[in-house]
Amino acid sequence: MSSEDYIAPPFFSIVSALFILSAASIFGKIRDGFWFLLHPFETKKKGKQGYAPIRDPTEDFYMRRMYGRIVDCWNRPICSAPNAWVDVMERTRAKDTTGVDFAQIVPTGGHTTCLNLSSYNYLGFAAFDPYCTPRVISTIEEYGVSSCSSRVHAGTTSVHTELEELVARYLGVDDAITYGMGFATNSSTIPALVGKGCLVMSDALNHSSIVAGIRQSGAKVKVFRHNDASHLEKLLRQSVADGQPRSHRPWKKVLVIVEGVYSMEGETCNLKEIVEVAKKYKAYTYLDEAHSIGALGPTGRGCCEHWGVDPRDIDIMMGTFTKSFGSCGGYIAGKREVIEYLRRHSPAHLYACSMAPGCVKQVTCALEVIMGLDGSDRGAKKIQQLHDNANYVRSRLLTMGLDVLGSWDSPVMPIMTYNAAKMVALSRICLKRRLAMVIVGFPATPVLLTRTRICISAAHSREDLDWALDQLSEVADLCLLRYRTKGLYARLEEDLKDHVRRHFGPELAARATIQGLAADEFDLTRRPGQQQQQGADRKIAATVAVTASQESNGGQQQQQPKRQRVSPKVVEAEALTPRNGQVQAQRKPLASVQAHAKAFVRPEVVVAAK
Amino acid sequence: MPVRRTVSEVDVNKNTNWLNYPSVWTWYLALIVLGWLGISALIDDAGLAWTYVHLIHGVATYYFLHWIKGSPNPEDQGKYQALTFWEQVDNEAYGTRNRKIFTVAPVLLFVLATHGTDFRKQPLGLNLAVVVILLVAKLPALHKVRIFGINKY
Repeated sequence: MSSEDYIAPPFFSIVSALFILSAASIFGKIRDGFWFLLHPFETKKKGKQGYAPIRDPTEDFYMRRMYGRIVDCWNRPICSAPNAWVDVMERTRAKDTTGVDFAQIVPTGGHTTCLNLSSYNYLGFAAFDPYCTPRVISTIEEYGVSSCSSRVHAGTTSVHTELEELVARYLGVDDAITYGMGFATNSSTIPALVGKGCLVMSDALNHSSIVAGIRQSGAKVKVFRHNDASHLEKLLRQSVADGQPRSHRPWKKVLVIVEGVYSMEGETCNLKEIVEVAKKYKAYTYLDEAHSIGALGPTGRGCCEHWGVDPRDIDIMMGTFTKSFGSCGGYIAGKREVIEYLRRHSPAHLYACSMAPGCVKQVTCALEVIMGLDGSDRGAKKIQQLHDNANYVRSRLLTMGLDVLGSWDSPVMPIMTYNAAKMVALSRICLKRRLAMVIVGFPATPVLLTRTRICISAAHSREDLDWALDQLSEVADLCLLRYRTKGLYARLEEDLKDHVRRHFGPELAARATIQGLAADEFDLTRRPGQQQQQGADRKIAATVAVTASQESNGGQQQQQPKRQRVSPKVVEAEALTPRNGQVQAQRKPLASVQAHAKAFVRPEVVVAAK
Repeated sequence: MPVRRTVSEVDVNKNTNWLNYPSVWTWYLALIVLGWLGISALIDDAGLAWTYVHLIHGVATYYFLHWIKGSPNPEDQGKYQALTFWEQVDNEAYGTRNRKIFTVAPVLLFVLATHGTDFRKQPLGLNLAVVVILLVAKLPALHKVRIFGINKY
């Protein structure tokens, strides 16, 4: 039934959660009953005669009677840039003219400075940055606040082409296309790629933008268990053999959609196994790296680098600029012909307003910092700081006894509260203690698996995190959150050893424990000189992982030649980020309109013959 | 309905997939037992209390399983608007464990209620009517059937 199989929530907490939910529902139903008794024909009078009702009281029962009691936990307005510390506005229930509370929350005018554990600020680009912000401001002065046009009309500027080239180079693929909105990237690209007669295999925990895109496209969808490559294989095998429903014709296209880091679980997908299964059945892969680009992998190149998968094996790589780059919008990257097709067929490219030039420049500058093209090593330091912070906080929370999900190096960590009441209490108490945390409940997660989700940033200092952990420790005692689920702890310990072995070598893996990580007993810092060695290690580790996964997958046939390409990709990536500024010569800002026009005429066409 | 063995897909209906958690049936049983204890604290006949439990359980399950339709999750976008909870369970497949438990519960309560009242004619007739209505409502043949158009929209 999805990843929750191995979480095995504590028995009694489910029973108590169900009692609490049923009590809340019963009170809601009683209040509904009284409302209908006191206002007998209200709905008939309010609605127009002969028209179908616009809303169904059953369907919005949850919104009216249960969510309405706890709205102060969501939509909290902030009044400063979402840096490591953020100003959260204080709100109170509105009162009408007679002084009676009514169902609305309004700001009081005051604000509290809280530690920001809720913004997707993974690399700390969300607030003022000495490299990015001056360049963004000069771009806004030069190009305006908005391009006021769609890409095909007058909305493509030189900063847009510069960004697309840089994104393609960063990811190691042919070409990229950018959009103004991350959600719209998925919901408009998937319908452009698949349609009626196509099959989409979607992971059980995929984001609602992917689900919206699939629904929009009209393709047939089959959902496979989260991260379960063998279930994907069984489903693919049967679907490909059966063909389309009723006519049994072969499918026009089969697309497998997975995410790099799942935003509600904080864990990565098993990219290697899933790509192998997709290749075996000749299905295309679509990787949504919204949360993993810039955050996973030694140089931030995402899930592919984290697992050692060649980016050219993924047919369509999608990502967003909201999380690690401090901007907005999204991109799709892949082969040149796919991107050219999307430039002609994707509705968001043809009709939606293009990304604002300031936002584009922010991403370009953030990428330049990450890749080291600004001439410093701030980017590498940020990524290292992010991984250190994330691993430290995760291990400290686990040793505190809290149920934390996710993969190592992933900056997203959900802390399970399992119980709707605890989730709400946690949110309110933490706000009083100046911790701004996001809680997630029913429509986004299953009803009995509520959680609070922390997003760690490279901008958080060790003192900030230690203070937050002390506060969380006290709150965990108040809210009884120390579930200490053994299965989860054991699985995460095993994951840690595997992660350390793949990235740092087997000797360190033997010593790696969660307790040790929490106590800073061993050092998971990647040193620059280590990269070449890691390339070799990774090759060995890749073959070790291959044989291990071969055994675990029960003799599944795997293609060997692809494996050899792992280490050259990593070493090559390093060569593209020189410190001597040679590459910078190609990136001089354009000084005049003539130069601007010339930028669109390329002397040679770079096409990777595949 | 022809039965076909196939690879199962994941139940993504957030309205119903909480039934697959480990201790949900414990909670269900606990609710029923607590109800019986509460009612037998109010009236002196503990056996008759089972009849009341059976009737209240019957009305409640008929309302929640077979009357109200749709899903409280707005992200479903009205996909289940015409389906009752019973019809949505387990991706609309019949013969699963959850359905078996839901079917056995009214029968067990019927047996307890008739035993508790020593098979007297009157509570037995009412109990029998309730259990027959509930069992008929759970038949696979009545999937998405609305008799006389009642509760169609």
